[in-house]
Amino acid sequence: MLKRASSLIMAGLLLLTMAACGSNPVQADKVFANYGIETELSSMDAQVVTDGTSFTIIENTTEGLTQFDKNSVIVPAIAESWEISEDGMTYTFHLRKDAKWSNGTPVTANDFIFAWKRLADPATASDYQFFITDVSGIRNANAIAAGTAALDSLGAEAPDEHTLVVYLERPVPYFLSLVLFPPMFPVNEEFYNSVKELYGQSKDATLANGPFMLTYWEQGGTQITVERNPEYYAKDEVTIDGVNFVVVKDAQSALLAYRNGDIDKFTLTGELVEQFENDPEFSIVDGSYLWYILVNHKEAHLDNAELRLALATAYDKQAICSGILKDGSVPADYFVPTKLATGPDGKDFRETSPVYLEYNPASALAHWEKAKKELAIDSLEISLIVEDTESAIAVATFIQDAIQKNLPGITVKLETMSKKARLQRQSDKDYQLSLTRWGPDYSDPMTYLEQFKTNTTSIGWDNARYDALVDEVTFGRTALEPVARWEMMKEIEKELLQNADIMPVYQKNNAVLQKKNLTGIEEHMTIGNLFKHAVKTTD
Amino acid sequence: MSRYILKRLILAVLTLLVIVFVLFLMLQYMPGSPFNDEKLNAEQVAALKSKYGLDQPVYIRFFKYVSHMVRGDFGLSYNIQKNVPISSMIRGRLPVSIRLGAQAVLLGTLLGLVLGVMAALWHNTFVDTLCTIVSVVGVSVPSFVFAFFLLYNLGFKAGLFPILYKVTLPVSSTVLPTLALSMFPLAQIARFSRTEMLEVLGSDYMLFAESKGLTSFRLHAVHALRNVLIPIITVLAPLIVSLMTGSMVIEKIFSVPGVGSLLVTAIQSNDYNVVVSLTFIYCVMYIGIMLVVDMLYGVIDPRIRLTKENSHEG
Repeated sequence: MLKRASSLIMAGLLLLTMAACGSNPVQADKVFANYGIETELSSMDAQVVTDGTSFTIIENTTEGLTQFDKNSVIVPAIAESWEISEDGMTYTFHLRKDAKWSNGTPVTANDFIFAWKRLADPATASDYQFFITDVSGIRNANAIAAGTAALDSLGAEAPDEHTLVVYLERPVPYFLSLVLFPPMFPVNEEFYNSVKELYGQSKDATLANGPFMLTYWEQGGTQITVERNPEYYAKDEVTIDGVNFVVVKDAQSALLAYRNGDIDKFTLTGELVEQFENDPEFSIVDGSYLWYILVNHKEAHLDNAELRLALATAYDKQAICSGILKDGSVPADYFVPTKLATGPDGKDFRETSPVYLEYNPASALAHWEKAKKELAIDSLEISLIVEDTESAIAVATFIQDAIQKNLPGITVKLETMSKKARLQRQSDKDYQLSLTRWGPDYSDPMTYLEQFKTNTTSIGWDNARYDALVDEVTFGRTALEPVARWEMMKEIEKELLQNADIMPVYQKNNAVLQKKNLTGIEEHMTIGNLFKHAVKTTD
Repeated sequence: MSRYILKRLILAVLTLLVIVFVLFLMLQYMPGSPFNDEKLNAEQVAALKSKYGLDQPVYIRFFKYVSHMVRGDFGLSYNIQKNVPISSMIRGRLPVSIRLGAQAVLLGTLLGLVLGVMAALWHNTFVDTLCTIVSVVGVSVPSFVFAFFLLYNLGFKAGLFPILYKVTLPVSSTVLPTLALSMFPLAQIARFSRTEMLEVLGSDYMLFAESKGLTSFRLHAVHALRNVLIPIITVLAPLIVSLMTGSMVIEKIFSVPGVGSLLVTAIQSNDYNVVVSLTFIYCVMYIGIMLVVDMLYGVIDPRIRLTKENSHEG
C-alpha cells in the first residue's frame, strides 16, 4: 500500500514537472528585460494613479511633450520644438507629425488639452490635481478645480492638430519639467470615450504613444508585460523586445529569482544590502525621497528655536545611514536633495548651497541649556509619531535614544501607527514631532520648498518672511530672473533650516542588483527605470 | 432537513448583515481616512469624500452599500486601485487563492489520512513514529520555513518548479506553494485520524464486525474509516476557509497573485469598500462551508440525521 501511494505521488510530481518545462510561447526568441518590482500595477490612468509602480510602467508606455535625455537634460518628445513668450507666460509647442497612438491614430494637441481638463476637473477627483492647479499655473485651472469656471476655459488651445498653445497665470520657470510627468501625459479623447470609466483598467482599455505598449496585465496580477510599440515614432531606438515587470514582495525570493535568471534587476533591502555591497552587480541608485522630522510649532515649547536646534543636531545622521539603513542613503544636512535640480550656473543646487543642522552633540547640549533657561524648565517629555514600517521605526528609535542620551532631561515617547493614521494626526495638528518624508514632483527646488506656507500645512507656524519669499519666487518679478530666483530659493531653504523649523534626517537612496548583461536603463530624479534605451545581451 | 437548512440560511443572511454593519461602524472609528495624503489640501480631501459619498452619515452609507451589494456591486476602490470596481479586483485574485487552498487541503487531508490510518494500523512501529514526527513538525514549524525550504531545494537548486508564480505556467507554479501550505493540514489530519482510528479499532462494534468474518479491507475502509471521518470533518471546516482565503505569507514568498495580502493592504490604506467586501466574502465562505459540513455529518453519520429529524418532529 505504501509503495503504491508513493509511486502515485511521484507520478503526480513528474506530470507537474513536465508541465513546468514548457517555455513561454509568446516570449520565445525575443529579448525581454525582467524587472523585479515590489507592488502590483494599480491602473494605467495617468491622471489618477499615485504609486511608483504605475508611474514607472506608464512612463515606459507614454510620452509627454518633453522628456529627459540620459543626462537628465530636458529634450523634445511629442513636442519637437517650442517657443516661450518673453513674459514667460505663453508656451507654444509644435507637435511631431509622426507621433501616433498604438491604435494608429495621430497624437494631437487636443489629446493634451483633454487630459489636462480631466486633471483639473473636480469630477475626476485626481490626487494629482494640485499639479495643474498649484504647480503648473495654467490659466483658470484653479477656478475649474474650485468649480467656479467651465472646463473649456482652461488656458490651453489647439490652433491646429499639431500646435498647442498654453497660457499661464504666472511665469513657471520649470514648466517644461512638469510636462514630462505622468499626470500631464496626453489621453486620446475618442478612445477614452469608447471605454469611459474603464479607461486604464485593462490592457484593452489602454493606449500607448511611447516606446512600449502594455500586452499582458491581469488585475492584481504579479506579472505585467510591455512590448515594443510598432507605432512609436522612434521605434528604431528601442533594442529590447519588451519588459516583464515581475512583482516580488519577499526579499529572499527576489534574490533566488535573480540568481535563477527570472529577474534581471531588483532593489535590495535590509540585511541583503550589507551582504552584497561588494558584489560587482551591486550599485547605489540616487533616490529623491527626503526623510525629515516635521515639527508642530503650535505645541508647547516647540516654538522655541533653541529647543528645536538642540533636537535637530542631537542625532547622528551618518550613523543612521551606515548603521541602520545601509542602503546607500546619505545624511541630509539640507532639505533640497542632491541631483534634484541644476541651476542657471549649470551646477547642482547642493553644490552651491550651504549645509545646516549638522550633528554636533556639544552644541546640541548648549542649545538645550539655553532652551531650559528660556522656557524655565528642567525636563521635557516630547512625542515622536512614526509609521509602522521596519526602517521608520528603527530610525525613530535611534533618534529617540540619541536625543535622550545627548540632551539629559528630555524624554522622547515614540508613537507607532499606520501611515494613514500618522498623516491624519499631522493634518489634525495633533502631534509634536513626526518622522515623515517628501518626494519631488518636478525638477525644481520649489517642489520641496513651497509646502510650508502659513495655514496651509501641518507645521502650524506663522512665518511672514518665508511666505513672502515663496510668493516672490512663484509670482513676483524674480520668477523671471533665473539667477536671482536661484539665490532666493537658497534663502528659502535657509529660512526653513537655520532655526530648525523642520529637521532633516536623510536622503533615501536605493541599493540595486542588476545583471551585467542588462545596461542602458535610465534613471532620473523624478522618473526612473526607463527601458527605452536598455540593451540586453545574451551572454 | 429542508426546514433546518432554510432556518440556517435565514440565520446566515442576518449574521452577514450584522457583520457588515459592525464593520462599517468599526471602519468609521479607524484612525485616518483613505484620502489623507501629504499632497492633498483640505478642499481636495472634501471633494474626494463627496465624490465617493464618504461625507454622508454611516447608516446611509450602510444602506446604500447593502442595496448595491445585493445587486453584485461591491463599489470602487478608493486608493489601492483607485476607481477600479472591487468585483474586478477580486475576480482575478480570489480564484487563485481558492485553488491553492483547495489543492493544499486536498493534498494535506489525503496524505494526512493515509499516514494517520497507517500509523494506527501499524501501531508502535516505524510508520507510527514517522506519523508522530510529521505531526509535530508540521504543526509546530511555520509554513514560511517549509516554503523557503521548498523554494531553495526544489525551485532554485533542482530547478524542478518555478520560484515565482508564472502566468504561463499556472499548474507547476502552484506546486511549491501547495506543498508548503499542505503541511499544516497534513499534520493536523494525521494526528487526528491516528487517534480516532486507534479508538475505533479498540471498540466493541469493530470486534463484532471482525467476528462476523468481514474481510480486512471492508472492516477498515467501511466500518472504521467512516467513524474516523466525523471528527476530521469538524477540524477540516475552519481549515478549508483559512486556506482558501489566501495565506499572506505564502503568497508573498512565491509571488502568487492571490487575495491573501489584499485585506491587510486595504486595512492599512483605509480602503473601506475593499475591507468590507473581502470580509463579506470570507464570511459567506465560512458560513457556507459550515453549512455543508453540517449536512455532511448527516450523510456520514445517520445517527445525527435521525436525532435532528426527531427533534424537529418533537
